[in-house]
Amino acid sequence: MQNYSSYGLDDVFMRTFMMPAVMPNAVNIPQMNVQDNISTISQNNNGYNMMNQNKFVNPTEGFLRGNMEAGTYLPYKNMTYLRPVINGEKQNALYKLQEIAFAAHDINLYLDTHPNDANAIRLYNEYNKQEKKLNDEYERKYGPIDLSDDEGLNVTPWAWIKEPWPWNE
Amino acid sequence: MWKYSKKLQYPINIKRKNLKMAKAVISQYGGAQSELSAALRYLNQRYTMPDAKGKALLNDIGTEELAHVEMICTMVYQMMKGATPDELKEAGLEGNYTEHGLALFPTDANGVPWTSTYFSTTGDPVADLEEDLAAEQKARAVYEHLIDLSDDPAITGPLLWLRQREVVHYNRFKELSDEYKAKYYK
Repeated sequence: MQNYSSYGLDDVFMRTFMMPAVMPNAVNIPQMNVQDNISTISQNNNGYNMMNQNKFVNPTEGFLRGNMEAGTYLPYKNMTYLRPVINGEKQNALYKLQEIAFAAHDINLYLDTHPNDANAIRLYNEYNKQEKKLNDEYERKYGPIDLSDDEGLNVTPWAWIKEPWPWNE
Repeated sequence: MWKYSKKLQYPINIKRKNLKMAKAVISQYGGAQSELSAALRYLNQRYTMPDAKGKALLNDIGTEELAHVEMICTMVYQMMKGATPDELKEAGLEGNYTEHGLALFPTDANGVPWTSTYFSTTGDPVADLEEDLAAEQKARAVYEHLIDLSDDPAITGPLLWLRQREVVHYNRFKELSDEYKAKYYK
């Protein structure tokens, strides 16, 4: 296991501000006028995600936006989104987990109304697999997130009760 | 059943006390267009959806709304953390402090407690979905008002993100609503 104590400066360097990720666009942006960042997942050599490259943005962009579906992002006024400031390995590990969990979840909603989209189903399973992997890695290092997982719970004292709870993160 | 996951859906890190914004943002916990209203609206309506697709969508969006309730509560909690009675008085929160201290309680921005009359179920999927579409639009409008009021990027960021979720949910409900209308309103 990687030694993460050298990254224990998270709290010290925790910032209270966020940096603008995207410069303001023109005021009164009409819907669908945003250039979508096409999924980079199509770079993998399985090829099956190529079909989805016009349907979804990549998880990094999708999570920042709060919208995985290409062409439907609707910014408010001259604002797009703000990039949360992430400091330290622990915060970053959590952020990457939230990011991939969101990507899988948003495609889950899409699939509820498009149940025959086999390519989206493959993409869901791919993100879901990545989520499980990142979740396990986080739990091994920092403690349990899900009670149903194997990781992080077989220690004394009972690790579930350990801080931080999400509202104190 | 539900499983709790010990993480937020999107990061919240508000380090600056902000009682004025806490008084406004609480609306998305216990106001008419709140995340709590949304969660209970969809989770109640899901039982009488006419097909598996509708049950799934109402279930899954209703579940996500519970995660949004947690995000909003976290924001209010962090904005109020460490506030003194004098500071609360100055922000017009003395009534809230009297009733609840610094604890969370679902009210709107004017302190009016949440009530189940903020949503309805009719058992008619087309009617229920029309309410859901309107609810997503009204929640989006409230988020925009909150973004207009916000003076801290650590608050604006999550509000923009939650606003975008209203847009996505609207699009999904619209797809289902159009399908049901074509199916049942021939």
